[in-house]
Amino acid sequence: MEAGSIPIAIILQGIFLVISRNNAFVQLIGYMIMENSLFFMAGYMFPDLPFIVEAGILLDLLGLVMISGVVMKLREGSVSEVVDEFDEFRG
Amino acid sequence: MFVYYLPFIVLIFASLLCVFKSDSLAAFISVLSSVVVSVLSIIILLKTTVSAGYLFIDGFSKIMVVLISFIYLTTVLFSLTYLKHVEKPLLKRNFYFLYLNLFVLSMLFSVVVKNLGLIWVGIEATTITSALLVAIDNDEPAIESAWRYIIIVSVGLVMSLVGVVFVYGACHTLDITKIALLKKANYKLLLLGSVFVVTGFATKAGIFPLHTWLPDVHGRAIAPISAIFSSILLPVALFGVYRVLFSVGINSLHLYAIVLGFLSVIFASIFLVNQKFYKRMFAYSSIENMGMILIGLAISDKYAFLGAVVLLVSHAFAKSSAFYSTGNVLNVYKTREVAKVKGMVERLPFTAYSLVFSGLAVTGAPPFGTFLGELLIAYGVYIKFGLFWVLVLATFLVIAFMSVNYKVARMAFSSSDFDRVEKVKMSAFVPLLNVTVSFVIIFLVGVIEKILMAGMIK
Repeated sequence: MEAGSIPIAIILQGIFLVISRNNAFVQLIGYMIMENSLFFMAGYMFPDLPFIVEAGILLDLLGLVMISGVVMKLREGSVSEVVDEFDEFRG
Repeated sequence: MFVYYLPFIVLIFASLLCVFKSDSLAAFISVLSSVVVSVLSIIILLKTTVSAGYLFIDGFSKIMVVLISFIYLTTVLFSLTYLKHVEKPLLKRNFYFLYLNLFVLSMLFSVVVKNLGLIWVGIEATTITSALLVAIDNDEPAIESAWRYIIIVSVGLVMSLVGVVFVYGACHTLDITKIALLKKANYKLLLLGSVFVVTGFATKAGIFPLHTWLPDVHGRAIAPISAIFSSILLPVALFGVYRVLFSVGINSLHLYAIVLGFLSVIFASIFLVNQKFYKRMFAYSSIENMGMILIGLAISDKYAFLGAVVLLVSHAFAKSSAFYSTGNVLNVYKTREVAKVKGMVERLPFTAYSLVFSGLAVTGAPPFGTFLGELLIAYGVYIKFGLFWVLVLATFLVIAFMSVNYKVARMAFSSSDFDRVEKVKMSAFVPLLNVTVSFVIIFLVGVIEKILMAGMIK
């Protein structure tokens, strides 16, 4: 069980990266750090997770990173890199 | 057995055919597949319950399958006319229908599977397939809201994946029927894991602590997408929460879910008072309704559970009608602000009345099914926690009711000097149909109860 402490620390670090920055690239990197350390934890603590579940998770990760890439590309054209406040998104 | 897989096959073929560069072919195929899937869902409703292989279909999943297919049908019909009004769409029309079909496929997948990990995979897949649909308006705020949707929901779902891993560590299986039968050997780890799972799935359902993506996305997405999000995506995520609650079955976990539901009702009602944009207003109303449904699902009481399902079904039709109507309003008035929309009764009579009736329906006014659902949930709260908490809940429901209906009535019945511009066509007809269905639900409560208790109609 002690093996779980390092991955959990890294997950928290990833969450901190997501919530403390307002740069979209850094937020995506924080998300990927979270996913990586989650696999790290699952492999350490419970190595016999069902294959179909792991395969599904991997497929979802690939899809999510691809879609994020597309949205990043769109943002380059229109939104400035730093997330500003929109009037419409208030309240 | 084969009939249970048939909707997936139909949807996969429909998505594949949408790849061809032909707008009319894609539209035709989508209408056809939505009709076929609706018919298949009725056939599945009449069949027995199943627990075999990767499938676990009980009464509640059957109701969810029927609900998903019917909202899918109306969304496709409404999209046909609505897409002409999008000026510079992000996706071509065939790709729009491709993503819509895949989105419905992933939602259908996550309500019928047996494995907790696969439920997670299905709910995450709905994020992937719907992210680009949110940004279809192709301007700055739309793309920004799509990005917020992706990052907040994925971070929430990573939390629930941590929970899934913990549940596996405690039970050494992810089969929800087996978790329910298991002796709770590793009680603390199971409780910790299931709390993580509930919080993560609740992110997708717009429940309080991580609900912040929901108003942004519903406020900026185009009308059919807002409608399909609010009416079936959020209930599908709540369905995941329900699966976890009932397979784990620990009292403190149920209490945790009830607290989350109360908090989302309270926060949504407070935020509803001061909304300036009508689509955001309906988004907060969705948060409030999801909170009520979560309370009903988490109180393990026969009446509250029935009330939650009735509220879920009836809210789905009413809220989709509300969002379709806002789409029609946006096309004519070209503004999202409540204050700038005046005299809808003269200018857009059908849309005005469907907006008024759906505004009444989503806040739980008597002639609609939502009223009966909220009443049954309040009765469940009364039995379990006493009168005080019912009064707290009722206070905030009344605040929500007044703030939504005051704004809708001001939009509809104020006077203006414009002429009538609306003609009788599909986009005016679909919202009226949906709000009527949300009224008809009140006659089907007995059928819904029979399906939930016995798993099928005898």
